[in-house]
Parts: sequence; structure tokens; C-alpha cells
Amino acid sequence: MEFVHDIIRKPIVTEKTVALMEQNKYTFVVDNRATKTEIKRAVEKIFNVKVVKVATMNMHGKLRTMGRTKGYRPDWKKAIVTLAEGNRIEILEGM
Amino acid sequence: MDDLRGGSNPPVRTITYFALGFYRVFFLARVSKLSAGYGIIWLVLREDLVLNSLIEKKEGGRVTLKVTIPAQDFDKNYAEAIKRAAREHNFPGFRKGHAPKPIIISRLGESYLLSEAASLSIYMTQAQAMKDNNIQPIGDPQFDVEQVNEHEDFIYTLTVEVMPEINLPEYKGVKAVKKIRKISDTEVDEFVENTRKRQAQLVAIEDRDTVENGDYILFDFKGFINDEPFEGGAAENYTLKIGSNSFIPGFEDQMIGKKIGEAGEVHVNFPEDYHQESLAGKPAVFKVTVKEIKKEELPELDDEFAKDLGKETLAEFKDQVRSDLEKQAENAATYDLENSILNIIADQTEFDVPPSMIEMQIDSMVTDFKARVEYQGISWETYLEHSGKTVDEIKKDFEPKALQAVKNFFILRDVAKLENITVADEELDAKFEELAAGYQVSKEMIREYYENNNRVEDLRHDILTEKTLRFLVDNASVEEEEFETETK
Repeated sequence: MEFVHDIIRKPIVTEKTVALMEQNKYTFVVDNRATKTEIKRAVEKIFNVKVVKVATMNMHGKLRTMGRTKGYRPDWKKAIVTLAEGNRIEILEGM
Repeated sequence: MDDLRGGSNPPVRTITYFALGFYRVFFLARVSKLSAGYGIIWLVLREDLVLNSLIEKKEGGRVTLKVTIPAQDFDKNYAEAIKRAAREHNFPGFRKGHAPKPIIISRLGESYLLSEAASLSIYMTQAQAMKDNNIQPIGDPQFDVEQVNEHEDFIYTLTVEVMPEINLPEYKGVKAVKKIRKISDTEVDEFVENTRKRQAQLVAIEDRDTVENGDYILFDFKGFINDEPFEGGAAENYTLKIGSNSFIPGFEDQMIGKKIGEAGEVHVNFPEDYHQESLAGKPAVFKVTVKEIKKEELPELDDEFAKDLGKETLAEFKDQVRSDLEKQAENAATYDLENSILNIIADQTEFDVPPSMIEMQIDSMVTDFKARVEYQGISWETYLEHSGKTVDEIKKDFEPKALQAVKNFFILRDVAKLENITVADEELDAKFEELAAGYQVSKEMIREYYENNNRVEDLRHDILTEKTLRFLVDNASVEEEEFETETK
């Protein structure tokens, strides 16, 4: 993958992830095919921080019904990135 | 359902109603939320709130206060405003009220939150600030925020109209002239003569049977247009004064010379501008029969005449008339005296009359005036057209009067206060009795009416005004003077 913004799609800012930020963990939606190493490199490049750990998980798209047709939302990948101590991504804390 | 709506356009009305209703509810909700919610904080914070307020300027009955709230207190209010915003807005990803401060600030904008905090602070402190400076406000104050920032002192100015402070001049011993109009004998006679005319009776004339100008005739008539009778064109035993021009032109003239008991005809054209359009401009024939010719007969001016009016003799009646007229003159003189005393005091008193009160007074005077015009059967628009004035010009005309009225109000209020003039319940009671006698209903009914309409305080105020005026008159050095008016 060539561009870092293709890997990191958007941050997730919810009550849960804001609580995780206390532990220096930031949560993103990432490309389904992205690997932990790619994610680490991308986050370091975009936010200019040091990453110590990346946890990823594949999320299944939810079942949605439109009238009588049923379908699934797209599957996606979630990444929780732990930063080295002293590093912060301030912009995400107020989004 | 539809027939109940009485012809108005239901959708239009419904929408208007709903829109209004919504607005009102919305408005009330906001206001009550403010007062209720802030009331609690008020109690908590008022104790430790260090208020720094000082009077910046005073002019034209307005006072401007500069109020400073220390940074730490303002920050508390800022935090409260944020908490409030968290509760009132939805932030996706967060339960209501659980969004963290930076998120709220970035999504709602700092200026919005600061202005919320500012109004919170203003509502909490305005009453205290005014109290600290001994300001008695009229109406609602206006606020201008001068400085609002987090971690900084919050500064705002408050501008409000105040009850004017009056330095009353010496109001006792005011020199005034009471001008009483002298009632002349001619005036009494004239009044009696008018009464006599009102008592006039119609008496049949026996000695002639031909109608003359000035006669009252009793007659039947039946009108035809193109040999067809028309509506409203016939009557029996109708009394008409010849020469009074109460019928269409030409009718009365043609009645002259008609004889009792003889059938006759009257040919007339309805005028072009006749109010009933179907008849306007059409020729009509009236078949008329005169039944009686009458003339007006005035009662003899003697004791008999007086007896009909409830008096024993004519002299007694004249005395009664004289004393009635004198009483009227006396009342008018007292009224003028009271006014002139008030004017003298007002001229010696300098104070800033609150503009909004003058405005209100003018408005109520114009409303009164409008009601009087309309009472005379002239529509307000027609009046404006004929007088060639705009509403604003009329308002301007009333300005001096309104100023006088407001001034008098304050003078009377202050005199009453200084002299400890109050209205006792017994006096209120007596007033009810007086009113009841005037309207010929029971005292309880009057009392109930006033209580139900929340007018008791108004009445009390009226009595107080009366008493204060009487006090001023009693304490003035009054010279009495009689004057005569030439009778017309």
C-alpha cells in the first residue's frame, strides 16, 4: 500500500475510545488489508508519534434489512494503537 | 366539525394557532428553565460570589452599572454551561451528558459556550448588583457584555430605567386660585326651559284639517315602484314632523296641503346615493292617508310642571336646578384647582421621567382616544384620513400630556409616602358601597367584580390619589374667585 491515508481511514471517537486515550491508546478504522506493521508506520508518519503496539481486529458488517431484502454492511478492520509514553495525538482528543 | 369553524379558512388558522402555541411553549420553556435551573445555582453561589459593581453613568432616567465577576467564579459558570450543553445536545458515540469537555467545545464552538456562560452569570448576578447599588428598576434591564473569556474576569454592563428620585419642592401652602363659575339666573332659566322642551307633548289640532309646514302628522303610507310594493316602503300610524327632512327629499313638501282622511299620492325619486342600493335613483309613488295633525305643546311653567318632576313648587324646582348647577361648577372648579396645584408643584420639580413610562402613558392615551373616536361611529382609518395625521403625529400631540400625567403620578406617590397617607380597608369598603349605590347593585357584587378582575389594587390607588389630592388642596393657600360666563 502506497499512501498512509489509504491505510488509516478515520479515528473512532466514542465514550469507550476516549476512555482508552487515558492509557495512550488511540483507535482507528483501517483498511481491511492493512497489517500491523503498515498501521504502525502510517500512524507514526501522520501524527509524528512513536508507536509501541498495534492491536487489530476484523469487524463483521452488521445485518441490515431494507424492506424485505436483507444485506450486510461492509466488514471493516479496527486498530487500537498504543503510543510510547509521552506521545499524544491532541487533535483526536477534541473531535 | 366544519360548520363550527364559522367560515374562516381552517388550515390557515390551525397553522397560525399551532405556530403561536409552539412559540409560546418554547418561549416559556426557555424562560422557566432559566429561572428554575439558575435559581438553584443562585442559592449555592450567591454566598461566595464576589460581586464588584459600580455605577458608570446616570442619565435620562437610565442607570448603567458595570459589573465584574472574578475569573474563578466565571469559570464555575463556564463549567456549568458546558455541563448544561452536554445534557441538551446529542453527541454521537456518547451517552447524553457523558461527552467530555474538549469534545463539546470543539463541536459546539467556544463562543457559543462562552455566551451561555455569560448569560448564566448575568442572570445570577443582575438582581444582586442592582440591590447593591440601591437601584429600583422599571422594566427589564439591557445587558452588554464587555469581556468574556475563560480564566478571565467577566465584565458586563447593565442598563436599566430607574424609578426617578424626586426632590419635592415645598408642596404645602401652594398659592392657587379656585375659580368658581357663578351661576346666573339666565342659566337657571335656560335649564328649566330645556327641561320644559323635553317634556313637550304632541296634541292634536282640532281647528284645521290641512297639513302645514312644521306640523306633526300621524299618517299611513304605502310605497310602490313600478306599481310593485317594496320592502320597508309602508307603515301605519307613522308620526312625521313636516320640515324635519327625515324622509327622502320632496316627500315632506308634498305632504303640505293634504287633508285629514283624504287619500293622496306623493311622487318622489330616491336619491342616487340612497343607502339601500336596490332603491337608489328609482322613482316611487307613495299612497298616503293623513289621520291626524298634531302640534308640539310645551307644558305650562307652573307648580304643576314642577310636580311632574317630583317637586312641590316651581320655585323649589328652580332652587334644585340652581344647586345642581352650582355643584357641577364647584366640582369643575375643584378639579381645575387640583390640577393647577399639581402643575405648580410639577413645574418646580426637576427629575428624569423614565422614557418607557411616558411611552406607555402615550400608548394608553392613544388607545383611549381611538376608542372614543370609534365610539362616535368613525373608524380609526377614516379619522386618520380626515385629520391628515399619522399615528406618530397623534402620539406626539399626546406627549406633553403624558409627561404631565407621569410626573403627577410620581409627585402624588411621593407626597403620599412623605405624609404617610394610606388607604384603610374601611375606606375601600366605603368606596365599594359608593360604587354599588351608583350602579344600583349590591356591595358584594362590586367587590367580587373588582376581586375577580384583580382591580382592587387599582381602586386602592385611586382612593390614595384622591386623598393625596385632597391633602394638597387642604394644605394649599387657596383664593376663591367667582367669574361669570356670558350665556349663549
